[in-house]
Amino acid sequence: MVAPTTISSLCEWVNSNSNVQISCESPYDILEESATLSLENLNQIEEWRLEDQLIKVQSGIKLSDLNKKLQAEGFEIPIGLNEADQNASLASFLSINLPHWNMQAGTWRDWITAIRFVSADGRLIRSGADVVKSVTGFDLHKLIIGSRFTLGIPVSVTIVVRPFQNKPTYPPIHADLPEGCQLIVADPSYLKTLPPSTIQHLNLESKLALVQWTGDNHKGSVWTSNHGIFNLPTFPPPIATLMHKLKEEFDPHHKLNPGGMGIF
Amino acid sequence: MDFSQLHHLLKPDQILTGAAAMRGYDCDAYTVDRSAPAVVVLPESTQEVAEVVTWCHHNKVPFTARGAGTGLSGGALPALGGVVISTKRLTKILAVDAENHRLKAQTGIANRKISDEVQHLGLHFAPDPSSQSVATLGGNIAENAGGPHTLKYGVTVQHILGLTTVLPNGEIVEFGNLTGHEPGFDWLGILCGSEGTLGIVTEAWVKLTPLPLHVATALISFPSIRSATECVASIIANGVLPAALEMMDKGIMDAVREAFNLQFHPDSLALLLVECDGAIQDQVEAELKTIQQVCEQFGCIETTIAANEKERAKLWMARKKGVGAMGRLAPTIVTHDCVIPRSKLPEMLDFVNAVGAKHGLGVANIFHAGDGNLHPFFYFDDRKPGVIKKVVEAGEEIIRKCITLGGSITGEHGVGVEKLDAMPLMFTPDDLNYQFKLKAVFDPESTCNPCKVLPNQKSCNEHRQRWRGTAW
Repeated sequence: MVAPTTISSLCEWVNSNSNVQISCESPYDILEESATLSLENLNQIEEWRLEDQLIKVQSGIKLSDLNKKLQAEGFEIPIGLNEADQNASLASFLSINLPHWNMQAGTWRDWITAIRFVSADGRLIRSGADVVKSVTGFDLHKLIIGSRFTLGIPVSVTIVVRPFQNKPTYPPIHADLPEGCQLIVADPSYLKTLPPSTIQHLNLESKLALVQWTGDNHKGSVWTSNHGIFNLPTFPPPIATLMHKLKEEFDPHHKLNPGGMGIF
Repeated sequence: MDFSQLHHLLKPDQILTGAAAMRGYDCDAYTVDRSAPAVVVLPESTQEVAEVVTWCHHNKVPFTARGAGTGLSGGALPALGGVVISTKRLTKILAVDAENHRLKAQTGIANRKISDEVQHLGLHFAPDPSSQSVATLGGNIAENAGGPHTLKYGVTVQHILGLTTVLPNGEIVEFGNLTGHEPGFDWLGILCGSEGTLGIVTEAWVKLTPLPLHVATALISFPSIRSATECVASIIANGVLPAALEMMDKGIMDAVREAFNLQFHPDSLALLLVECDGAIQDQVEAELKTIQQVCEQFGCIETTIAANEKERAKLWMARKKGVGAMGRLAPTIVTHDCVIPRSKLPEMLDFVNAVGAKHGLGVANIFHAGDGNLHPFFYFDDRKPGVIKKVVEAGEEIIRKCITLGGSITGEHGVGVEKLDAMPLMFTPDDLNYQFKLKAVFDPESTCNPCKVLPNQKSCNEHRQRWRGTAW
């Protein structure tokens, strides 16, 4: 397995290899054993602009390292992280757009404003802009997030950070998850007792709750029926057709993470 | 092309032809470029949209979706003629799911009507572009619209759960997942902001956001633009993320003073409108207090805090009515839109004013300071020979400066036709090639809103000579 130390050397390696199976030090990466490429050495902070609420990093950086540095300056990554996630790389989260309990903040793609990714033919492609808001061109970076490295390899990522919230943003709820979630599902009127910012998304019908919980005694989790690689082949035919077409355009020789998306 | 065949698909009153209709649909709110459609249709359902698009696909006829026509970059301009598909009659709310905080509507509905519909439930649709009273949900999705409260609540894509979309071949596809997290490729993220070039969104599930329990609003006066703009980055660097952080300069103050008799501190040359909200009153008030302290460090000269909803509305008036009031200053205004890192605001504002002076144009600024999203307004008399050309040149200088400062050529208005030439300033040929690849997946025939977003599309350059600068 190779672990390039520069983006340009990664580009060269990808261009000259026909099987690019990426490891990203992730507890969620089921293809880890067959990996041929590691991003662990691409772990630098490229640009630090907290006055602009932005940080630009290489995607192999460990979230624990990044969080420590940000919090020392009074900022944080908006997406809440579980304990187990702290040693995973940013790339591992981006590859699956892993949702987290802090859904009030959205998912990763809501906080990434630009990505430089390495294409299947080894070119460095930019999408987005290094500002907090932009609608210039198609947001290819949103496609890269969640595509499990099958369309391109994200190597440089611009993240919007926010002021560190080291205090509860609303009164504590006296129930732990999952009991708290079940309480809400069982009695929707309980919602009325919650402050508005608490719940960003709640699907009572499917018993799904994505809830932001903070406070001394509460840890969060995420309930979703749609996460995991094994349900990917269940895409509706029109969606699967579009996915296949996009794969053919971006990676016609299917060299990037073969098998990583479940359907190609 | 025999457009009368459309009469087999739609009722007579759903088809507009003739000079008046063509004139009415030859541009959106970006009026510099104009191109008339061959026909305008007013479908009333997704199925009717699909039938029209299928007909266009089979006959290789270009088509362009249009909402309220409030777009500011020419996104709804029918660049190659063909069919304009208006969403004017797609205005129904299809479902309100209050328990799950979501609503489904046809995309011709005005943004504001969504919030009005669910206000009694304590909910609202958070994206709030300034044109929200008429701008449509579909237009918001196409442009990934923002608004004053983007700083805290995010742009449109963050509030979309599902989209019913007619692809350019006429196929109807449901994108998204009502849980808010879809495995696989992020089609919602791509469709939002694609300026109607990948398909026509006819229905959407949107997230509803609880109305904040507590809101604190303040209008803060500064003795100079520089002190106000320097203050903006410092507010957020001090750990506060307001719900809104808007700025207005003297040009806007003059306009609203004349139009609405609003009074400001006599030494004020810039205003910051700040709004904090949240669930706990003490926290909201503490945030506003921190902001006041930061503003004082930067020499603010007056702070007015709204004591009630009526006063809050009054403080917002300068921001919300500022653009309209500019009609008092000159017969014509042109709005620009670009984004820079907010720490570069002082340098950028100095540059904008210098560009205006160099070209002999009046300039006023009213913009989303917290996002670094500038909206310089040039005001002028377009009856003067050559003045519009100067406006375009000034706009190009501003765009180039934004890129030099590490910014983006558009923050919320879109590329449309207005900024096609600027795309290569931001993206390399390789970058653009990958954007073309995406376009080819959805629209290999390039019939869906052609000549937008991506420069040098086939057939567009020669046609462009026809519509480019027709108002000059």
